[in-house]
Amino acid sequence: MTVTEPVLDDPILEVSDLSVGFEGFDGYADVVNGVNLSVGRSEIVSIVGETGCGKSVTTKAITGLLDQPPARVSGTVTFDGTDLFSLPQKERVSLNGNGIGMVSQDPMSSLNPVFELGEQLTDTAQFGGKSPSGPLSYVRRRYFGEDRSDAYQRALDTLKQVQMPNPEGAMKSYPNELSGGMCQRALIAQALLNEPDLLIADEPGTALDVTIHDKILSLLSDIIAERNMSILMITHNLGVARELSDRIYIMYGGRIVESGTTTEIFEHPKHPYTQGLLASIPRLSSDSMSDGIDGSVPEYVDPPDGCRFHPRCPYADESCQSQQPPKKAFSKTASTECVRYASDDPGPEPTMTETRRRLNETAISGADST
Amino acid sequence: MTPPLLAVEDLQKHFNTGGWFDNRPPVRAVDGVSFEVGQGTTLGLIGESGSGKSTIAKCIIGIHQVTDGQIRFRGRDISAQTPEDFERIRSEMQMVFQDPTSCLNPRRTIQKTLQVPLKANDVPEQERIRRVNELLELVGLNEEYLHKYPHELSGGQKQRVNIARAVAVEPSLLLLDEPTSALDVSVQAKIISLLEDLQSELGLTYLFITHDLSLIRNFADETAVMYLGEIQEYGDTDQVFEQPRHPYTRALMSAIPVTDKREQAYKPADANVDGEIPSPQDVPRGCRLHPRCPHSTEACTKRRPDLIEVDSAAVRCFAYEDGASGFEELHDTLKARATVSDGGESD
Repeated sequence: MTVTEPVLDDPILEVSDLSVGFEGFDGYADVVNGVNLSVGRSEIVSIVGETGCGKSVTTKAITGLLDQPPARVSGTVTFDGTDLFSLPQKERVSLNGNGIGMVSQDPMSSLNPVFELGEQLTDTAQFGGKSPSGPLSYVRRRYFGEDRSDAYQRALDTLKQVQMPNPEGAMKSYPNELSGGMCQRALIAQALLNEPDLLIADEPGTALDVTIHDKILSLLSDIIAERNMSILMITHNLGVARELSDRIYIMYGGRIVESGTTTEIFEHPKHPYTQGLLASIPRLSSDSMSDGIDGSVPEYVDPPDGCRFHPRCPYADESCQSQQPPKKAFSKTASTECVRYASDDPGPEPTMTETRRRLNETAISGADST
Repeated sequence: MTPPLLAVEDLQKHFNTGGWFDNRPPVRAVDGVSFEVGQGTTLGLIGESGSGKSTIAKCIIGIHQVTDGQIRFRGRDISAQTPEDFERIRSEMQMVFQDPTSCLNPRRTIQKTLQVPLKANDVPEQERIRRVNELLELVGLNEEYLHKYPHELSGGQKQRVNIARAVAVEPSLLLLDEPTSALDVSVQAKIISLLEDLQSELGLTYLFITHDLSLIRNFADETAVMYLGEIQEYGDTDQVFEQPRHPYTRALMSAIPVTDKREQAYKPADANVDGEIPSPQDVPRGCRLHPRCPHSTEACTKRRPDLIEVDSAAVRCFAYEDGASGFEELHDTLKARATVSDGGESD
């Protein structure tokens, strides 16, 4: 049985059958393989997975930041009713920042170190969403235009909104004079300046301390509630995803292996990968922790046949290697791609306790592949 | 009772800043830290970046010169050693760093990397090759990896090699400076279970530095919470987590994103600290946390609190001094927590 994406009425972003690959020296790396996802209006959606599962590549394909070639992108991405891949390059670029904002992962290296923060933010406020122009028109607008002070004021207001301590002072400082938390706030402000409808946040605050990270996350959720924005968030931290998002996609080896609302994912995780990830998280309340998942993410040049998770899966058998597992839906929002849930499959259905037991067992028998 | 393997007493490490005409105060990275690590146990050191955790480890292993205080290893003070003395002690203690990639020489194969510490200890060549094979097996890698280069390995595998290199000289103390924070959870769990196995097999003693509280909870016997160069709370791990007393410990715990309702209930609610960690060059007067602390009173701004023994833990907070006033709110939440955890002990 094949099931399409949960049908959202009027999603702001819809990605269907997105595939991204890269030509390399070793051959063709099939990094994202048939990803379907959608983000509704004023909804927060997370993509969760380990490093190297294709999460960031997916967002880069959505925003058009991949150079083609070497990348090969196919599928469709619809943003607010427009097909992004058929748009002319100029219009697409002007959509970035204006319609789709992005907060990138490393706050310290995402700001230009040779310009004052104020200058960078004001430039974004003034020129964001305008198609790229030559240096002459930049100079004309930058030094002779009248809207510079307006833009400065707008940047300052946004900095205040993201609760930057001493915003006036921050506008006059260089990125190296700001702490990590302040840089992250500045980046969020920059992404919000031109009031995008969709914000793509790639591991916001992961590089920061827990207390600051926590603040950045609550700041984000306040802003969304206030501005009626949608967020597509990338994270490898399931705790973060649980705290913020409405719906979660679990990604492994370039495929969405499980999707569902936050409650569905955390109360009834279906896919062995989701269960393994959940079991690997150290717990605060007790000192029991499973031994983790064996192995590492697949080589994309030569991915495993069938289910890409099978070399690491505690439930794997021959049927996993022979076929791409069918997608099985459990509710309007929850679905998973695992053979064990097919109606004619003899194997046991993965449960949390069983997965935990099996993971610990395999850890004893052979630990030589992590 | 046997003396602890490592005892640190009133350790201070100040970094001087500026040149001749600059009289800014020194950076007080570590300011009066004392702790003990018993043979075969694990001490977890937690805190935000900039709280001085790594500086302590670097002082112990002799990368930094100690400003003041004592570091006793097997009862002998090692804080003021000559480089020659240190060379002898170093084979007793080894360090594993945070970033597994930058610690490995990209032009050496794993075999060569693992031979370096053995060579430094004058192990003959035949013996070296045998030892390298043993070490690889010990950390769960097979001989295939002998002739690989670091770029061919995943993050978890590289960290395994780093651990193998650290235990190559048969040390008794391992200083683990955030060994898993660059790894995914599934791999982190693997590395942690490897470290646990090594500890029971080789009788190692760990000083485990991390900012991840849940990890400490699973791994350490004792926990010390650091803030701005001082230990704020120090005690048995269970004790510290069951009943976090210091406002800073509570804030750290409440900031962790967790994954189910039981965990959510376990976190102290509404225990946030404001703002960011101040510069260690300009530490607040009095209690170092007071500008960020939700419970701070006037007394906190005036004098520095001492470590106060409460049950079997030590807490650096005025709220636990005899006759302290103004902390009713904190004590109320603590009492509420005690009754909850007594009731929930059954599971």
